[in-house]
Amino acid sequence: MADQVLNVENLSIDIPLSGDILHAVDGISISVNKGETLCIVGESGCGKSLTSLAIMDLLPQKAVRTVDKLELNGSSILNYSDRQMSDVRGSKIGMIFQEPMTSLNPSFTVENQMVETLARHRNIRGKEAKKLAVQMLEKVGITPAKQRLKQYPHQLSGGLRQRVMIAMTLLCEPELIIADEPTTALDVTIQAQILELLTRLQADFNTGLILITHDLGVVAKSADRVAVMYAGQIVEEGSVYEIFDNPSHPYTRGLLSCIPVPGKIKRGEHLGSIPGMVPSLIGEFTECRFAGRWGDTLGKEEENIAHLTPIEGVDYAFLVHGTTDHVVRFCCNSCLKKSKSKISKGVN
Amino acid sequence: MAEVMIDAKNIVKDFKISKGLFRGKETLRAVDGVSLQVLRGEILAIVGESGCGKTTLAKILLGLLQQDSGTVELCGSKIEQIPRLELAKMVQPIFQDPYSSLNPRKSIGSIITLPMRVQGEKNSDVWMKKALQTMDLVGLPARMFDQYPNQLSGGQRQRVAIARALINSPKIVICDEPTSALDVSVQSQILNLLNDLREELNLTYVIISHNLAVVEHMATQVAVMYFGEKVEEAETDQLFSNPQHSYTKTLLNSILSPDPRQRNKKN
Amino acid sequence: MTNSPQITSTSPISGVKSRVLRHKGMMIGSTIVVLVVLIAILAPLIAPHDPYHQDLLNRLKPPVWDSRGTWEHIFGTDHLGRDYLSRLIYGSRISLLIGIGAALISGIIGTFLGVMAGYFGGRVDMVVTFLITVRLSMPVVLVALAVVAIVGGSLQVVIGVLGLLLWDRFAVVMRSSTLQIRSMDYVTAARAVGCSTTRILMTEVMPNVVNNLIVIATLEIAHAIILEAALSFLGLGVQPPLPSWGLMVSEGKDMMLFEPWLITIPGVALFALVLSVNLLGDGMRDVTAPENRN
Repeated sequence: MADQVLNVENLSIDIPLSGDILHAVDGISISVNKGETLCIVGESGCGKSLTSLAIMDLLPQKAVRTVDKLELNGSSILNYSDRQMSDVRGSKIGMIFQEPMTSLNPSFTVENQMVETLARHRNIRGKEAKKLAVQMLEKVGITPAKQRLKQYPHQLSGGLRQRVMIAMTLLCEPELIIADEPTTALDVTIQAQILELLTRLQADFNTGLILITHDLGVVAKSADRVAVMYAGQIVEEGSVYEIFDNPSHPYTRGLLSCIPVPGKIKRGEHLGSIPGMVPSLIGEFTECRFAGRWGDTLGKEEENIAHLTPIEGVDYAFLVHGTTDHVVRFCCNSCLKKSKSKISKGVN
Repeated sequence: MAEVMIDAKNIVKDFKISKGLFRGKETLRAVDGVSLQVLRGEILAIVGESGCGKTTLAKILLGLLQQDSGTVELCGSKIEQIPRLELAKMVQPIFQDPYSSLNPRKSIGSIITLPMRVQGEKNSDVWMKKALQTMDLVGLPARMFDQYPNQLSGGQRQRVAIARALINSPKIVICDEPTSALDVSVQSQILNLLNDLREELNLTYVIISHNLAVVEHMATQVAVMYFGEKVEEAETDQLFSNPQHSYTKTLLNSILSPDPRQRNKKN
Repeated sequence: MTNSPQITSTSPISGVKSRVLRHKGMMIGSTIVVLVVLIAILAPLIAPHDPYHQDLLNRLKPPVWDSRGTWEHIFGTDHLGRDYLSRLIYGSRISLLIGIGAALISGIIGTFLGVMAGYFGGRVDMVVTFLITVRLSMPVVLVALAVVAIVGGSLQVVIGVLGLLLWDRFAVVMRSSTLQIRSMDYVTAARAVGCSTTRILMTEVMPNVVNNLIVIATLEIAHAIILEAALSFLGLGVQPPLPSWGLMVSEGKDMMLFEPWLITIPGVALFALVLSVNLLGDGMRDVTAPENRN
């Protein structure tokens, strides 16, 4: 697939922890095409941030990454040395973090940092570098750009800093951008602006974008495709419309029922909830990961029952009936039974 | 006629910020002439973004910070005249960060029973009983009494904070972003709990939040703050259907609805 | 956003225990310190001779590993015929007494000032910071020398002087720790619950700064031990015939060339004790630092 920017197959991340092993991520596969936004959505501890670090080979020393395929634009970066990965990071894969306060160096001006990035990755210096920096700041909506160049990070607001971060990331014209909760630390009125900016720039530059978030509102606004992560596994993935129209995994449904939406529920009535807690992922897993979390807003009404077609060769993975790419994965048989899904015998 | 629980008039609070080594101090007006009235059983939400002064206002209403001018009356008495222990029985806070609101060196039991011990209750059986009752009320298993904060999840910690706030049956609870630091699935559990407790214990809430969807679900009244001023106040349904101030409109427009088909719509 | 759900199922104490056992520096340091403390306590039982008993016929006998040495005096004798091993053993009492005594006094002064400054801020902070600055501009050894020269040297004077001079690090560290704790919501919650300031300082602030306090205390103990040795070496610390290790080095320096054990033995002892106290302090800091909590 010429259009595919990133292909990750069967990624697992294990972290040794006081004598035992934490299986933080368990055999997930993701792919992103040019110009496409994939949202990885999940709550704390599901492994989404670790996944992005694994792609960039930035996992903490103790963590062990095992992956079958890790391809950037068709070529494998699986066995790249530190030096090679260092070249890839920044120039081919750009990363935007959650805290704009800590990802910019407080001791250097904006200009300094942008020019350094250009020198490092594209070998552009001096006047030309400065010109490009100004252009990029304007592209991300910072005006007057020339004045801002001379400022230090602490003189800029959170929203501005994040725009600078985005500008810096785009300077190297990366093929893939990974943004980890880029708007969580920002004010609500700025959030929407930054998300729109990301989407627009992504279309302009035709980059792939992986947007990691816990906020389904962000997903609804920005995603083309969605991967829902729970306890280290991707439990559901598909196009954004499919996921919101036909959520088929109990976790996805639970998540959607939890969100307060103006006008949806009468004031004072209970919001949906997912009882219990995420299970500990330390050691071998014998139970269902969703045990005890079913609650009573799931699987009761007829309309909640998903119609699924098994996928050949993959245990507990199903295509939601009538689609070609909306996939649901259950962690075990007990989960599958409890979901009361209707399984039709089908091909593929 | 419902009882007036909080009556704040024209609160002003300034902070002096030092501008540097020899450049003297500049005055930052954190709260600029805000007036509020909250009746018994109401849930007032104060919304605004960072720097609008909502947290400062919360501290003033809790009696932890003194306003520079203006009056605050709680249940009819001027807040300055209420003795410390009386005030503690009237109004209690719940904070945003479950990781900094519990003393890591104290056991859960010790944290929850603190308000009782401070009020002079010497009988440890009485504390234990009340604490276990309150823990049950907020959905915490009794075995957590002897555990420490680092053994609990964010949602469980927030429940401990709620138990601590409620153990002495206060009349008013001021929640500063009570669920912003929590996962979505935990947030709904806590919000449901807060709703149930309000009914059961006849509490009056002031909820500070920047999350308008949560505000719409929980609050009966909403006050919008912008740069220290209260720019609009109305009943929730009224505010959401017919916002008057431009800032309120901007805030409402920024709500990201979990519906992909709404992504390009502007209210 | 919250961190992942806590996966520790143990109380804070047992986690510390396992980290302690795995920290080599701390194990070495604490072993030696415990050894020295035991030696100091059991001195009358282990010392082969009276450390003050002079035997001029047997003066300057070399230690047992030298060809002329005997098992009678394992570490040899000094210029007055006193058994060196016994003096060394009793000397440990002096070093520990001074180290702990000075650290205690300076700890109390420094912690009080630091916590006050950190918690109350404003004018209190200004005054304390000023005091710290004044204290830091004083050369400790010179001031100690001057005081001892005027008042006269003795164990109590040395402990007192060092105690009154070494509080600055306590104050600085306690101040910054307290500043951090003060901004925590649980302190605000304690105020809202109606706790008095004293109660908050004792039950909310102190337990959380005690870690740092212990680390600084061990480092200052080491500091005080070295300073006492230096003062005694210069003749203005503990007075003879007390078997202070520093004094032993001083008394032995004239005979350094031909009887080197007179300065090497107490020198090595000092080095070992101070090093192990420092290792213990570093170990405590590493083991209790929250960054190490995976």
